[in-house]
Amino acid sequence: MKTVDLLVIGGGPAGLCATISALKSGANVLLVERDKKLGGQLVKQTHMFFGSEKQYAATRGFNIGEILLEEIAGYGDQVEIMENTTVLGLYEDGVITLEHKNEYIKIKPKSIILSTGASEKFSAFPNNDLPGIYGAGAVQTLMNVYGVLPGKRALMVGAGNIGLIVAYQLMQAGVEVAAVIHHSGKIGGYHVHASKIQRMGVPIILNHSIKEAIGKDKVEQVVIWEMADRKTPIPGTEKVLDVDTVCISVGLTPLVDLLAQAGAEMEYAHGSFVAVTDETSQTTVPGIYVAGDAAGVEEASMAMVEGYLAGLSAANFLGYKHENYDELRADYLAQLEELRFGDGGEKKRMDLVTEETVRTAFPSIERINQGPVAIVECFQKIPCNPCSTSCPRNAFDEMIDINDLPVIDTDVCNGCTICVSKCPGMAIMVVDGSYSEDEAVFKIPYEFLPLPKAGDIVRGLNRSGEYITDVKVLRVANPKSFDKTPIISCAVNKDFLYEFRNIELGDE
Amino acid sequence: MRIEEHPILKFERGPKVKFMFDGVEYEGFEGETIAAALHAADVKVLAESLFKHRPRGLFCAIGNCSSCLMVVNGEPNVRTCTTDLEEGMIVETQRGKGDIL
Repeated sequence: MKTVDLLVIGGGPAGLCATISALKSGANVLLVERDKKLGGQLVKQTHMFFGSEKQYAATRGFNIGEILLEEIAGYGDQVEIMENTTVLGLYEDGVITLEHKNEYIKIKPKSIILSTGASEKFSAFPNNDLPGIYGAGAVQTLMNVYGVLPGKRALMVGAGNIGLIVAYQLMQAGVEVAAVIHHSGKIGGYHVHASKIQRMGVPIILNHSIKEAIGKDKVEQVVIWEMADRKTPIPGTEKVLDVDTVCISVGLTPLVDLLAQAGAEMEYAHGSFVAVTDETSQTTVPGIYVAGDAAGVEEASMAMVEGYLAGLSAANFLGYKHENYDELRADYLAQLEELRFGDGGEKKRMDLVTEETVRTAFPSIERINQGPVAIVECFQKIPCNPCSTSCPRNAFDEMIDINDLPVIDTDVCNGCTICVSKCPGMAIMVVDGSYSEDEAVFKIPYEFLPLPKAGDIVRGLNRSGEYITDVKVLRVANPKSFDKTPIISCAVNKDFLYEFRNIELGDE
Repeated sequence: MRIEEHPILKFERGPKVKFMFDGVEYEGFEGETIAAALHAADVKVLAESLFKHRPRGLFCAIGNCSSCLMVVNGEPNVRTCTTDLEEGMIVETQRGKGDIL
């Protein structure tokens, strides 16, 4: 039987960071992953992450995965990686059994970090088993890993971050999104994600749930209806949508089977069973640690920090105490506290952003007419700071708390667009009212194909994705530093100064 | 259907491979799963439920949910969402539990 210092189960964001952290402390690590490739859900995330630089904010998820893997590769023989390997059981005598290519393997680690992630919750409605109804994560896997489309027209059920992000990704892949429905009156995800899809013309229908799916061998239609109080449908409010794809995004359940089998004490918290842990992420079984969604479902940025903390702790348990153990531990705990404080972490929900709220993001008309200035449509306290840290002129107030709303000094801002390309929420644009008497130049981020060309006349849209006026494209800036978020400059009639926010190509 | 052009991602597909699904020849790419290849060919029904014989399709795509179990090269209950496609594979719709022997 094989013996190892530390076994890390699951190579997603938490497991990768746990591995790095334990390696840094000097422990030897065996990292096992069920999938054929490490990275977990990171490999499917095409959007830029929130958070701060420490959690790779403003870097796309799949790129973060590559960065972490590169770091692990630098440790050579100190780490062993087994992909395509499923952990089958944890036994009382400390033996772990694995399946790898139909081979049954036994190992005995001195310590274990469980970073097994989570599985998607399901939703109960008639015909919910029809092909064409997927977990939102499954659609991400199909599209972003294999480049395969789930269908032509989709309904997203659930407006949490995953639902909103996958709806956007569906559109990027060329799938029409009929609507995003949400069972209550306040969405669960970040508002910047909601605004991204609203300005593409996708309605977010609040207080609605799915009544039934219709179809013979696969989904052909769905019926949605209004909810009086999250769970009581109102008969007579049914609407039929023609869709061939339904994505269910109604939350995740931590994968804790192995923890329960190991005898760790479990508790019911925030809607799921999770292991009871101490401040070092250790469960009630000495030497068994937990990190990431398996410890309670949160954002990937938090999973990474939890991984670092668990790796540091498990290495210490094994006698490999990092020379800066105390500082690192305090830093990880502080990062977690910061990340959890925001509206996203605390699940404080707000109404969808209104026109009046948007208007507050604009400086005076005199300032707009003076020259380029950034308009920051960020109204929700979320843990994110790339705008303030990327500004070369320090026009943003320094964020004391990462959850602070951005505050910009429009006298210092010169509209350089660096924050536009860095904002993971795509919530910033630059407006220049000095362009001409009648027209202002708008510089907006645009992540869709085909891209317009300078000189094109395209359709100008408002924040709900409705056509307002034709606009002329002046420039398409797409340098490498923008990391595939091109910035389109367009001349827009000043009558639409407070409405214009997006463009659409084509002549419809 | 496959994504040919994407604003963020580049898909580097492996060589083409041929496989059989319920007696008909299909094409997919090396490096993708059986379920992904079938989806690209618009095959969404992968199995039949045990008792009511209702169609079963891909649901989780990461090996959690058992909705995509198929018979592959005679072996039943293969998770086609996590099993890579190989040249010459014989893939069949699974009906019933599958025999162990």
